Amino acid sequence: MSQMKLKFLGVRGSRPTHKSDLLGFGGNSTSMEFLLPDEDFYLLLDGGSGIAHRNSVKEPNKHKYYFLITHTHWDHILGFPFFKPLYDEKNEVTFYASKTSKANFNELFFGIHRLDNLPVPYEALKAKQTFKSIKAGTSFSIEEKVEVNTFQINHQGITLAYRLGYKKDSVAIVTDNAPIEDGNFMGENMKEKAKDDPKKFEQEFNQGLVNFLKDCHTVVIDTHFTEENLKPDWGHSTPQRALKFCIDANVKRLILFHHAPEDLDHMVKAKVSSVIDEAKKHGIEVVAAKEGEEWVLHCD
Amino acid sequence: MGSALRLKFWGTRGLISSPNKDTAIYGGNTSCIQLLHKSDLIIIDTGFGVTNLGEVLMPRILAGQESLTVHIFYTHFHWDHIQGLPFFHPIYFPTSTLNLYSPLSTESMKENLDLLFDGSYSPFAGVDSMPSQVNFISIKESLEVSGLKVSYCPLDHGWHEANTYAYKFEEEETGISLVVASDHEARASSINDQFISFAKECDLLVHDAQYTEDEYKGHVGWGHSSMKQALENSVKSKAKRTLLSHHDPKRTDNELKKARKDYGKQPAYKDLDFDFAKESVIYTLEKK
Repeated sequence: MSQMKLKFLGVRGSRPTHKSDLLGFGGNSTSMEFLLPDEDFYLLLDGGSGIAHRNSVKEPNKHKYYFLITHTHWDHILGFPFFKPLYDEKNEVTFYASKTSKANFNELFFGIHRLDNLPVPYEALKAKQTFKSIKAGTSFSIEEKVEVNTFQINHQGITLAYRLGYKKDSVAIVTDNAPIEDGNFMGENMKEKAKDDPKKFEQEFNQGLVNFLKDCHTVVIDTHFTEENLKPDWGHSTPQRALKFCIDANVKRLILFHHAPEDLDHMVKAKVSSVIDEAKKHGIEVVAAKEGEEWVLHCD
Repeated sequence: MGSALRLKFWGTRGLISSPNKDTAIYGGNTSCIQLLHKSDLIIIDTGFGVTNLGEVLMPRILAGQESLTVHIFYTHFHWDHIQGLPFFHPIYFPTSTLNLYSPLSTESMKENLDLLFDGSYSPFAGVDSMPSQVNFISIKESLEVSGLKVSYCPLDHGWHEANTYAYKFEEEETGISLVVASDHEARASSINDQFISFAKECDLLVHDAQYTEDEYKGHVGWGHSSMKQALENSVKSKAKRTLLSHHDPKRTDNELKKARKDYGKQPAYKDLDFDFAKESVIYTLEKK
């Protein structure tokens, strides 16, 4: 039975990093691929440094690429100039993203290719590119094969969580997301929406995210911080907060993700340990995202 | 006891970080060199390597007993040479002062760095929005920092007017000299001739050697040297020691080890003191 697998290309948040004692989990910044061997397109999420080192599976007849962009902070886009398929005129690349503070996504790409910073003009990217601006909360499909749902999470600008469904497979990616509590409203328009009744807004947001994740098999959540070093206004979460959502949403597997660049391998392992007992009580498997690892996204 | 100038590579890679088990020895972070001199903090370029230096500086910052002054010299402003700056811890503390140097005008420097701190790509609002004091200093002919005379020379960095420079650091008391040419295509040109004179008899030459001979053939004009071109520049300038850097992102530790061995066997280079730069290793320059 054909299936979709999730493959991590980069698991770090903030920036890529290299130190010998963190290479077990990997040093590249955020990016992942949804492997769809039976479809005639590639599907990826975010363009951190991981996509620069992607070993392309040789499928000579596939020329269509789809990217889901959570948001456009550097750690999620800095690999694009090194993603070779963008330079091949045979390819069609479609980007889905929320609106950014730039006029449009083309302008944002154009900014990366500013010649004083990168000696490759934007025009050198010969692939046919399509930018689709999506509103949080909307649903769409990729080639009528993969169902995609979106949800605005708590991070600067408009950052989107994505939930994907393909045959029996379900997976959601929630990065980057800060706890909504004590008036920590980071997303664009959130302060405005919350101003009359902040408590109600918090409850609605948290319930909304639980509904979004309901019965999803695998959920990948930003757990940049621990409960001890959490800085809520930096836009990131902890393993405990992530697990709470998974318990409430009846998720099967939680994958801790967006590891802080300072986190050595043993610190990432400690994050898993810090929630594993509680997760077991609820029948949830907890692992930490590791570069290169592939995951099946359904129960047998 | 003779004085010494030491340097440490925090980043040796060109183009993009390549964190991997098979790059663990020579390093996977983008360009950054620290000069260790008289307990002053002097940095050449702020690729992602600088962020690991920032982590090491945290105890000093948090102790808060001294204000921290960091001198940063930019060879040019391509992403792989600047992208670590927003993640360099001292920039978040009002007790830090960052002096940024380049031969460019202060306006160009600021413009070249601002996109890193742009609200679309980061949670910031421009380099001026950072808590530390950031000063832009345009170098005229030369200047002095930490008892080191710093001068520069233009380099050949590809088809685009890249405004890329080599730096020379000379210890005034002893004459010990270091020349850093991180991004330079050492093809026959008046720029290269001028550079060879600039680097003449330096104690250590750090030189771009991104490509193998074969790779270079497909990248003429891209602004980087082959290993052989770099070694030729070392011979021509009579540098006493040479460290090859700006490793291609896909180059593995084994490939670099093998290249060292193979070039070391060639008659032209067998007496040359050279190696490929390794991250985290401290290299010492001493007048004997």
